[in-house]
Amino acid sequence: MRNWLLTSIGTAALLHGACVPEFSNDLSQVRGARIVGIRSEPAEAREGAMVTFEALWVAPLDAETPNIEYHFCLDRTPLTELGSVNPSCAAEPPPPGKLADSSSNAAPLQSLGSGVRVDTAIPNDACRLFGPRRPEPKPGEPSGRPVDPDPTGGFYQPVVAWIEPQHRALGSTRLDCGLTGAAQATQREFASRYRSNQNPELADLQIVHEDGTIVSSAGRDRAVSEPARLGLAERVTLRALWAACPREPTCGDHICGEGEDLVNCAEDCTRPRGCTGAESYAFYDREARTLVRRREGITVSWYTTAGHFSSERTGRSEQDVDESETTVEYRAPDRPGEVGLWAVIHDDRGGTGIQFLKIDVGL
Amino acid sequence: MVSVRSLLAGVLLSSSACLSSGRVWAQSSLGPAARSTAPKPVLTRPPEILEFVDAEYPESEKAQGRAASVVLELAISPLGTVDAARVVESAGIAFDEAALAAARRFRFTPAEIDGRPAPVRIRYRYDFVLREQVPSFGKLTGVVRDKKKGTPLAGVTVQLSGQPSVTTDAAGRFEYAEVEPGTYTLSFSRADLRGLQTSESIEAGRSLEAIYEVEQAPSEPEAAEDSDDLEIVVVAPRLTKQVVSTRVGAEEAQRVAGTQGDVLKVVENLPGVTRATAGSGQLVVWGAAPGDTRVIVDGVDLPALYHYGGVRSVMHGDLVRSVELLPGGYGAAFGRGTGGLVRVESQELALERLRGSAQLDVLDASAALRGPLNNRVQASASARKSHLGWLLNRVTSKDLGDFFPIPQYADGSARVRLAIGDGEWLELSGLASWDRVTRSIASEDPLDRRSQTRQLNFQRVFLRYQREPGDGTRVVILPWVGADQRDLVAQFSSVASALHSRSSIVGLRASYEGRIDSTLSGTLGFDLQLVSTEVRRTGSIGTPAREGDAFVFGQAPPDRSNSDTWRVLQGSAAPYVEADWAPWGERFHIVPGLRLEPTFQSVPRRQPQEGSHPGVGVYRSDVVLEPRISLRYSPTTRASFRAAVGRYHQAATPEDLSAVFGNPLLGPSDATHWLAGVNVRVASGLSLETTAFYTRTEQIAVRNPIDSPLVAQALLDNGQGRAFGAQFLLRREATNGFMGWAAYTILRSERRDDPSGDWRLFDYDQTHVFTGVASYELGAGFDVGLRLRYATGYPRTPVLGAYEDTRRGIFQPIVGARNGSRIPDFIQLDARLARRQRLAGGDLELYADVQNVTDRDNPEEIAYSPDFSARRYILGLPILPVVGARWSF
Repeated sequence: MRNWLLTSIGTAALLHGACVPEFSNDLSQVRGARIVGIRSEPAEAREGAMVTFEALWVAPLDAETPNIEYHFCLDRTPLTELGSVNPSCAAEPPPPGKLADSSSNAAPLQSLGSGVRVDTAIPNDACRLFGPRRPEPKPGEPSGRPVDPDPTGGFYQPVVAWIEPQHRALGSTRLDCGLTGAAQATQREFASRYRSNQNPELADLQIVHEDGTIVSSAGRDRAVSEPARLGLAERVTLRALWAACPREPTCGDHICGEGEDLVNCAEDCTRPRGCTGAESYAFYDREARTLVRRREGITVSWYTTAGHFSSERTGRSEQDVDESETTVEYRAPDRPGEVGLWAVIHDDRGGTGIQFLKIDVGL
Repeated sequence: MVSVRSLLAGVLLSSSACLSSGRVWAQSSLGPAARSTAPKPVLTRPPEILEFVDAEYPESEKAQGRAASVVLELAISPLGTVDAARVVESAGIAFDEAALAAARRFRFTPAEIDGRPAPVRIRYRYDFVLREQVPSFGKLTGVVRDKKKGTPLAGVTVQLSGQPSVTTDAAGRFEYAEVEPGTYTLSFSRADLRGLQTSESIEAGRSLEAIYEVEQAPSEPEAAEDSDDLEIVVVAPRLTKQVVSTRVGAEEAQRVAGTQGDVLKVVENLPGVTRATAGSGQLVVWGAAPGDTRVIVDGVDLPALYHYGGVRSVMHGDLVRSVELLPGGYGAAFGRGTGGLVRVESQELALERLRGSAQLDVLDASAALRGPLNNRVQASASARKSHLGWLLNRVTSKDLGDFFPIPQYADGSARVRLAIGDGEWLELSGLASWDRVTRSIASEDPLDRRSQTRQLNFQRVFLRYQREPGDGTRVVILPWVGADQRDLVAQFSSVASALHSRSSIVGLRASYEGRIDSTLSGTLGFDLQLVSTEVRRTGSIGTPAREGDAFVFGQAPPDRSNSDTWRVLQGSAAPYVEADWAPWGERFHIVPGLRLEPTFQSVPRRQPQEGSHPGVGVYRSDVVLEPRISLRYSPTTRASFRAAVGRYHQAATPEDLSAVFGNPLLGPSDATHWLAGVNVRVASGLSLETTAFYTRTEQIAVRNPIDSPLVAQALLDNGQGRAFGAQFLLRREATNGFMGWAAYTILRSERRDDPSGDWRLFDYDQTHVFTGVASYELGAGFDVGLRLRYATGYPRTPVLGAYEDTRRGIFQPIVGARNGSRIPDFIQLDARLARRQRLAGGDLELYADVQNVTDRDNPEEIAYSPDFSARRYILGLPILPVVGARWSF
């Protein structure tokens, strides 16, 4: 009777979701060259400011350094588009002759060059195209609708990067456009409290064996580090750590935090530097129409050339304000060999960083 | 042909004036001397008619349509009787004789001369006037037949309250030729039938034809346990008032497989209705958007017909008398919707005794009661509550409901009717429904944590006054109030969205139906509705996706976020008139209608709020004129042709009138329906209905497609839609325990977001929809039913590739032409087995409703891998048995 009841109820429970297929695609597996992040330095910039874009890429260990092309997307995203960018920017890269130069908006893409890193200036109309300022009106028409911010209040200049022949990735620079649409007093307060985002960094990437021993990657470099060693099919815990950021801005903590400036804390803000972990930031709550302090969430994406993670991505949400680490279970491959392992850190405001670890398995 | 009833108008020629002016020949016994000397007699009191007698209108003259007047001279005795009569001015022998015959039977008050009764002579003009007959009676004819066998029952005594009884003939027929308009109790009795009765409303000048199926009492051994299982089922629609509609009685609907006995779920199986995605509970009629089809219960609007998931309707089946689907071209009494109309009629309140039921299955538990409180007051009540989630928490892992959206719902109703007098009653009703579905997915990955909660509650209270005074008129006054609460709260990683909507509604419907003459009847009505809605929304403008969006299932919502709170006041007051003109008898009807609907709409903020600037509101008013006309022609009793065209409007959705998320200036969309069809009675109890249709909708709210839309113009009313196709219904009325139908619809529904753009497939387009339903009573209380459904898959937008959004850590699809591909076709067979038996003074029905008995894998949606490199189908329900019990008394 109970079995019948369980069967009947269980099947009734599968009214909508029980038949959703499972996919075996493991996005943490690195099979070819792939861009997993585009780091903008600085992570947040004003219109016209110089930035450096660096594609964070992963590839099999024997792969050559890929040729990466960078483009600014110059077309606004229409409201009919539910994706992250105007479809014209996400399509196949146009021939070079069809690309816009830095002074023309005729084509959707503006070439920034190629290589692992490129330097360029943020377009002078970025806050109108992708920010809170209204776009230039057409003759005889009022100005258009500003772009809505993301959940952290941010706006982004999109950057498209390609690895030939077909891999494409979208990155961005967070735009410092100030606050619009709020009362003037609120705008002033926002300007005094808000501090630009700092790219996050992984302070350490640790391998925790089952017996409790820890192998730290702190100080290792992709090119020169001694590989860590794991046994065949060994299960370990990988722990990614980042800087613990203060919950309240404190003068003297070497972080020019929320509300601190040269006047009230010259010690921290003479050479302004943010925290490389989960920073606090001023946020304008559009529903309550007030400024509130929020904290970034941090996620870490895991990639490897061999072996398996228990989760492709782990992290801490905004609510886990006192946690500055995340872990994932890793099972080494069954075959001996060198294994590449990457941890890519993202913060909620669009900053990113990467850490690489080379592992000898069964050698 | 105009029927003519003769009316004799007797006119006493201005009696006082005539008499005093000397046209009175007073008979007197006085001699000549006296005459010369005596004072002239004076008429002190003229005769007054006491008894007027109708003259028979000569048939020969009536046939020729002739009218006439005959002037008579009447000799009135001192007693007031007519002693003699002669013709002074003839109108022909036929008229003369008729007038004389009637006049000789007149009686007057005695005339007085000088204060004393005296004989007098007067002239009297008798007018024969041909007038069109104003019918004052209706006609009721019916056939009584055995419910199980479908055979006619002869010798059944039929009693219409207040009328003499009649007996059915060998064909089971009976007839009441002249019945005064009103609501009557109709009862049937025979030695093997007991206490069966129903009620009928008779309209003046109308012929009501119905088939009454009754169950014969069981044989002696069975009688003891089955003595109460007798109820009349009226299986044929009474009066066809709509050009295209499908009406299903409650008992018939309960037997349909796949409905779990829910009467209103039968609507999904009717022609013109496309198959809804499993679990959506949406009603898509003739290719219109789900929200464009209105649900009307006893004249009151409801926001939904089904609970979330579509597993149950919002109204208890025991309290539903019938449900009628009008996919388009309906009359002027209803508006505010550009799609179809579902009309639900409440069950009659039991007059003779208390009736009730209790039902329990794995989905929910319910109970219903109806019956008389005293001679003048009847009442009903029902309640239902789902317990699936509660059960799952006790027999499975606690978090099952976190992964699978388990619908939670409840509904209830109460109704009290007070009979004020004959054909006059007052009814107070209340309806409430509650729905909630929650789903959440926990994950180590903060970007993959998702949750969604949807909630819809609504309440209605309405007071209905109805009066049918017996002269062929009907007056209905229906004031009502209601409230709707909708909530949608979703979280996709850090992207939160919420939509809260609170509506207060005041409505008033009033109508007067009357018959002007034998060829013309009409309805004059008024339909008012005021809706105040407060909406609070946060999140992305792209969430939830709208119709026509290039949306791919599983795609992460946009992370651009905003918020707005706005209040919308919308109202309209629509006087309407509709006539039913049958100039050549019942064979041909012309039903023109006109609905004039002034509307207004007020939104307090035209532009998004910036800083602390006060908002400037928007007030918009429109006057919409909705002419409608339908034609019905029945050259024979076996075939009828129908055609209709009409205009319809629908106000902008309050959720679309935000200055941030929509456009406060959106106006009503409008639609035109064209349809034509033919009904053929193929054989006794077997009919075939065919209808071709075309609908065109304008000014649909769509997203602004340009890259830089103006402020407060996120939506534009530039959209257009069209749908065309045909529907077929082959229906077998319940006979010999068998009933069923086959419904097939072929249609194409298209949309375009700009009048100059290209047409594309509508999100809910389904080319072919077939539903076959059959139910058969096996005997010994067993009842078996099958339902077979086939439907073309819904259109979907294909995925051509993907790119990785590294900031958000997600892949985004690169899509092809909107709705450029389809989900594969859907085929499913459902079965129902039920058995009824006597238990504890009532009937116990045990049933198993098994959906997808072949366990076929039916694709319901296309799912993609996170990087959109692979795709598979989300499959519909596996074989799903719903077992339950229902006890009724």
